[in-house]
Amino acid sequence: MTNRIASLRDFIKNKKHHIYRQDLDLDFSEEYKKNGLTDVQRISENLVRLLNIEKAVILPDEKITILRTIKKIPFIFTNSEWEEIKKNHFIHELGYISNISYNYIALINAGISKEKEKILSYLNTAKNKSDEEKIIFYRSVLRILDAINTLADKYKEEAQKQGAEHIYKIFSNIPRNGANNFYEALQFFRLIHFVLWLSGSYHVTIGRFDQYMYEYYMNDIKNGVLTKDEAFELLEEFFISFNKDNDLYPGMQQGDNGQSIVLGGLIDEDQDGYNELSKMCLKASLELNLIDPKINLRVNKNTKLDVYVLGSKLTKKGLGFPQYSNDDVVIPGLINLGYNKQDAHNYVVAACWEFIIPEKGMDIPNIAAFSFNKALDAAISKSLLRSSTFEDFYNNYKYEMHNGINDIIQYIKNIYLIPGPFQSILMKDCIKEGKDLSKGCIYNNYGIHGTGIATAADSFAAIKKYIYKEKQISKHDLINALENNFEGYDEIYIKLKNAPKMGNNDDYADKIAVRLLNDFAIVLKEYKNERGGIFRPGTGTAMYYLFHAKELKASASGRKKQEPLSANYSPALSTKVKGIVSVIKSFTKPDLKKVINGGPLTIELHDSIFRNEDSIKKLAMLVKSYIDMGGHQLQLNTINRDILLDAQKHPELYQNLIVRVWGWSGYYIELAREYQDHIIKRLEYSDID
Amino acid sequence: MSILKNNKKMKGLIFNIKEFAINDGPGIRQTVFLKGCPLKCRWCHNPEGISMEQEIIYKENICLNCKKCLEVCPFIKNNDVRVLKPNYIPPECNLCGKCVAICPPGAKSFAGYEIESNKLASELLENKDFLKKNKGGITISGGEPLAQIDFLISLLKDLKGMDITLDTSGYAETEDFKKVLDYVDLVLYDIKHTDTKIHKKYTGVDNDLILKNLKILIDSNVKFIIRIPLIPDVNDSTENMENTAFLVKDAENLLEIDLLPYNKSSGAKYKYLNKEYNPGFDVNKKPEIYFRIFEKYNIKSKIL
Repeated sequence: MTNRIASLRDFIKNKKHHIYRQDLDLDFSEEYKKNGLTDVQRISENLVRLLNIEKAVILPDEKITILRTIKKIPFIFTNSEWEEIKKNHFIHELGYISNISYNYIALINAGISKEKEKILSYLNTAKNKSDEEKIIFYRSVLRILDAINTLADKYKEEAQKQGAEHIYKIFSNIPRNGANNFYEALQFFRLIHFVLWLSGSYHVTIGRFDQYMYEYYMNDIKNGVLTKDEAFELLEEFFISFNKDNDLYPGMQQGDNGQSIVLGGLIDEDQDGYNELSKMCLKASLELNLIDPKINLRVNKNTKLDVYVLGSKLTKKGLGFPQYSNDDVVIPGLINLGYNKQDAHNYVVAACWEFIIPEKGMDIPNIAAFSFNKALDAAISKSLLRSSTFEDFYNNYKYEMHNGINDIIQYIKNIYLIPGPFQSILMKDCIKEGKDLSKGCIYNNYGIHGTGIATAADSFAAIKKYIYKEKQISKHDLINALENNFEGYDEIYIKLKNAPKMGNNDDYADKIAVRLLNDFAIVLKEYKNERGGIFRPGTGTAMYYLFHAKELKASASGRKKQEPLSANYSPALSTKVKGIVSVIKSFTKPDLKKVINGGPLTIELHDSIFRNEDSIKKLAMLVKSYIDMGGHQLQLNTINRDILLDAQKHPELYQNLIVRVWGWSGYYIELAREYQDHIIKRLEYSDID
Repeated sequence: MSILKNNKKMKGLIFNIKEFAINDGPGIRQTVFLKGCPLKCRWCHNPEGISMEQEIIYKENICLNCKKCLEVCPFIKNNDVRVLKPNYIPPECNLCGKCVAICPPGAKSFAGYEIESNKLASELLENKDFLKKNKGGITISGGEPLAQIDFLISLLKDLKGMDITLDTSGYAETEDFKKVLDYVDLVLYDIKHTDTKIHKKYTGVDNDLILKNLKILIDSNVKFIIRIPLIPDVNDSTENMENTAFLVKDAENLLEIDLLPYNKSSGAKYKYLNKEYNPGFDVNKKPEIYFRIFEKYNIKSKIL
């Protein structure tokens, strides 16, 4: 890290740039309503106004600039209008487009002027056909592009005032023209990314940066425009830029902002994309120790150990990334779901772990979550007594699973998404067809998470063993014990706790998990969404590990009522696991190609495991083993329970403590207590005995 | 499962199996800990491995204070339950296990369980593909594995084909030690102190037998690593380092000397056994690490 980067990093980390933020109370919704603007007009007008209100702020000594000064994005509808919309539509989260991987590089290459030319010709065609909707759409996009040029000009002016030569020079070229070099490309990216966030969109992912930026990087190195060190410095500054405004981005918790970058991965069947730039990104992240961008590493059976070693160094640092995704499982899985082969090879990771396609995917991979255990509660109360065999009971469960999933899907009808005219430039054929991205793109699939898989498998295992096989517990007793949260049912509680558990490489529980995931996929296959897309099953939980747990009774796995479920794909919280190897074996038994919405095996490591260089290599070997055994995704957390407990008491001492929450890394002290406690409860694999 | 040649039902007492062991020998290993040790090192961080018998351990941090363990104990009068604390274990305790069975969070549990050597071997071999792929194997540690010599030999026979590391204090009958060496690929050999008086003060035994067996080890073909747990003001002197180096400097089968700085969390488990942690040295002091001394003798050293 150069001194310049170190200062900049500290400046941002210490929030010194917050003084430039404007305290505004913006709301144009009444005006929009009065003037009868359509939603497309409103969102583009909103963005244009915000771009005009934005000030040019150039921080001391920086080369890659642009800073957000507007704190809150004003909503484009009045409260009553939004209530009306909600009455008749399904709204996903905040209503904006989110979790998309945009095609940044096309605009960076072409520049805004060329893009405008293109759009003007489409506009003319639309005018000739008197297509009002398309005319409004194209005009909206053009207005936004002009406003972006104006913002760039503001920065150019400010740069001149401050004598910031680099920035003056850069904005004399971009964004009207395409980027000429790596530096300009990075700055142009920052500008586009900034505008995307300003539009109200969130979970704005970065995509395969090391692939699409490689040419710019390589040309500069070959032509002597930059040395590798200079390129690295720019890269680090680029990474820092993701941390400037991230406290303003909406998410479930601080840090949940979806700025995920994907490194490596197959380009086609034979070629692995991992390159020099990928390696530099890992090194930059290692040095900077910031929560953004969130690193995702695509690997396959031929990925060399030293890639895993570099990844393990980040894990050791406690960044909670990289998250690993296995091309050998994901790509065939996506193809099975109907994705085009080339697109499948190009997959990226969304905000948490969901697999999406850059430029073509208007998928909503986190639209809902199915609670395996809620269906089990229903099965137990409705049909346990009349199920004479375990198979009977499991079939009755499948009926409840059908019901549960059907309820979810019926609820997701008539979706309304706030338009994204600017986003539409960056996605395939939206401009060509004159169709806003919110109406759909090439892929329009929905993803359903699946929560509490281990708890469900464990519960079934206990029921199978104690009720049906060994007949040690009567059905009535079990039902009553669960109703009463085991009060007065100590013997039953202990039996259930000692029944086979998923995570111990015990087929008794594991084989049930295999069936559950299989059946989950089979049920979802029956459904299509209103855009002609499919529903993709996944093994993630997102934040539902807390929410769903609150709706459940006590579980036959020995889980007490109100105890949370484990995060994503991992053993139940109170399971006594034999060790990591058993966990990996258990969790790679299901056919994970079938649950390709994503959802990583989540493993917490005690930081004592990292005592020396050797231990990093061995962790790398473990990760590689998981991938070789058919694992689909993996996220590792390095924690120390004592430190986490101390950080709750003395947060001021732990400003830099980063943890992996459920699919993203955040600052521990910024999390709500519930989430902190959950991380403390998680199973920790340590090397101390 | 492979048919194991040795069918004798040889039982032994172990207290843990660690699946992902990365500091117990080459590669990723699985380590089994045999219960019982003739030494009583003051700094031992696995005190539940010292006694040759099964014991009850109590974890206060997960205890719910329900006292069901006291209620169900055949040696505790009902009237006394109220005044006793849940960590109480009566002197007459015969390990019937009723308290362990009834404890809802598992705060009371057994340290150590009996297992047949062939069954243990089967369990250890479950992950053999994973271990082989990751250039590892099985490590046998403890306690002191040599203290259950028949069980150990039986286990080693059943583990034939795997890479075996033995983690030992070297305190055992020389004939037994020799026998075991035939079955192992690497020995991790502890030298707590080269001065026998100080050795006795802190471990309960003098080091004559250990140094004698060290010579046997050096004369064998078996590769070995010397391990020194570095304890502040006990064995971290330059003199002790020099003496240790001197003992092994000419051994061709010596791979390296590992220095293990005292681990502050070592004392944690004594509470589980209702024991006081009184090691006789300053636990907050960091030991001196003189690894340069070994360079003089061309001995590779590592700090773990």
